[in-house]
Amino acid sequence: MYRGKNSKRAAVPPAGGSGCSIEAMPDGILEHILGFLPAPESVRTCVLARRWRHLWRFATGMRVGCGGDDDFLTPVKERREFMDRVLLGGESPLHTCEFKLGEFQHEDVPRVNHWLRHAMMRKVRVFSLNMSPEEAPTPYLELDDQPLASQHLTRLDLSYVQARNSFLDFSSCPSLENLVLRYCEFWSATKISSKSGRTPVLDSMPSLVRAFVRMIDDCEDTCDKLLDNSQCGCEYCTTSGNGGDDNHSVVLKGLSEATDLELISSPELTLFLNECWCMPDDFTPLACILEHSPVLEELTLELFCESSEYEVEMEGRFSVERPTTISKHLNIVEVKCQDVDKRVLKVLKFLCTFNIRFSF
Amino acid sequence: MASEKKVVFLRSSDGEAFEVSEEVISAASVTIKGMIDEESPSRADTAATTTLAIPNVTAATLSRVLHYVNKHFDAAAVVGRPDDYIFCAPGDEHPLARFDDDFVDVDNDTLIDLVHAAEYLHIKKLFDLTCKAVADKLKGRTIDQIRETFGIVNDYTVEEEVEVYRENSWAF
Repeated sequence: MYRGKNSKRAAVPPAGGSGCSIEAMPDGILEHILGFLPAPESVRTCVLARRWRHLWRFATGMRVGCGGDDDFLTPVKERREFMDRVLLGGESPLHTCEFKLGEFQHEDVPRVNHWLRHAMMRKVRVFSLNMSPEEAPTPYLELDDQPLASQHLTRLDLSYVQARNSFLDFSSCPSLENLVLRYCEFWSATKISSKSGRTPVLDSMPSLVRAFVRMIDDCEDTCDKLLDNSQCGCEYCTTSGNGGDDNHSVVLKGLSEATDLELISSPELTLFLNECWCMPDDFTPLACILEHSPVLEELTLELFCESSEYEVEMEGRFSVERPTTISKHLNIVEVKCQDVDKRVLKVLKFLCTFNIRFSF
Repeated sequence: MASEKKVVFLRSSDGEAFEVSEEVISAASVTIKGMIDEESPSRADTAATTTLAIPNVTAATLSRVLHYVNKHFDAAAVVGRPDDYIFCAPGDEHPLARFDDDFVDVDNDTLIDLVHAAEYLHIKKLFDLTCKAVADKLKGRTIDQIRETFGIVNDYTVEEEVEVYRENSWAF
């Protein structure tokens, strides 16, 4: 019982009828449109009409767990077959992959890692993996300890995962422009670093031009060591003074190529900088930033702010002579705070020792 | 905007000309930038303004596209860091998010015209925005509803249709 192209079934003319129907679009555009649908819906368009049978395989995006009738936070186990089929059944390079997955068992971990690697093989440019825990706290999913290698990846966005040293070496991702890490754990990095003498976590990223660091929610730098000459006393750190490049802050070293750096401190930052920031009159972490950001031009400090509403904003510039220790290109240190209290005053006084003068 | 800024005219398929800053449209549209670059040797040191024919885009669509382009690519009008949604603090809405939502809140035909124009003019952000908006119109609908909304004729035989369902049963 063949129905040819003239079949009248479901033959409703396009609304408005300007002649520009979705059917008139080239495959390339339809594939891009499908890439914005939740993946199950994208696959299901295969039954629309003959032309649509394989279009989903060429969709430029793959979104799983991101809304639509596609349930949020479906356990990984229930996603397995779907993910395998849609990732392996797809045939074209992917612009975007967005995976939001729920509960996982130990045996699911290699699977999720496989999906990540497979997305890289499909030349994904923007990759996001969110292992959002339905009920906190669960252990974070551990990513394989191997560096990613992709000529195409421009943005990597990870949430609720844990990673070790090698994964966080992005030197084989030359196009990577945006790296977003939310609620991630980086562990063992310090230990590996102090033994190997390599800078852990974020290695130098020459093409990184702008960074935004927001340390919130009990962030802890597992290294506890933000600069080369701190006497932090943690078991992994040597306390032998200027240790040179080997011992830079895990975070700051990675940012050292940035030209526009914002360091946002909230009260929680006291946790982050526990060894240093709490210590009265010890601003070595700040000095570290001022001294070890070779291409930094503008530094914004948001001090002790609980919200992003600042009562006080001031701009600091070098008054007479720039101390030789200060990063060569740093011109402006902007300070934002809600109130110039004793804590802020101490920071300002400290900055003044570098010949930085403030104007409102 | 400074008066000495260069402008170009874009002539739509139905003959209407639109003025736009050369700098702004070059930043937005790869296609038009290419046209301008091709033209430029011949117009050096002349006061004459360039008119470029955009044969695939009607005046109604072109005017919408230029509205978008002026909002998104005119450095003077753009607030903050235009492209960096990432730099918005969590919860902060991007200044142009509302504009974008309103921009694609149009009927299907207008939207599809915009998709074609964005593709032809090679304006990536607009192409993504409009394609996403079409996807949003497909989202959450049954197969029959999609066919109806977009006038898609089912040309499968029953046997074929059964087979396609079976082949992709894992997605249903």
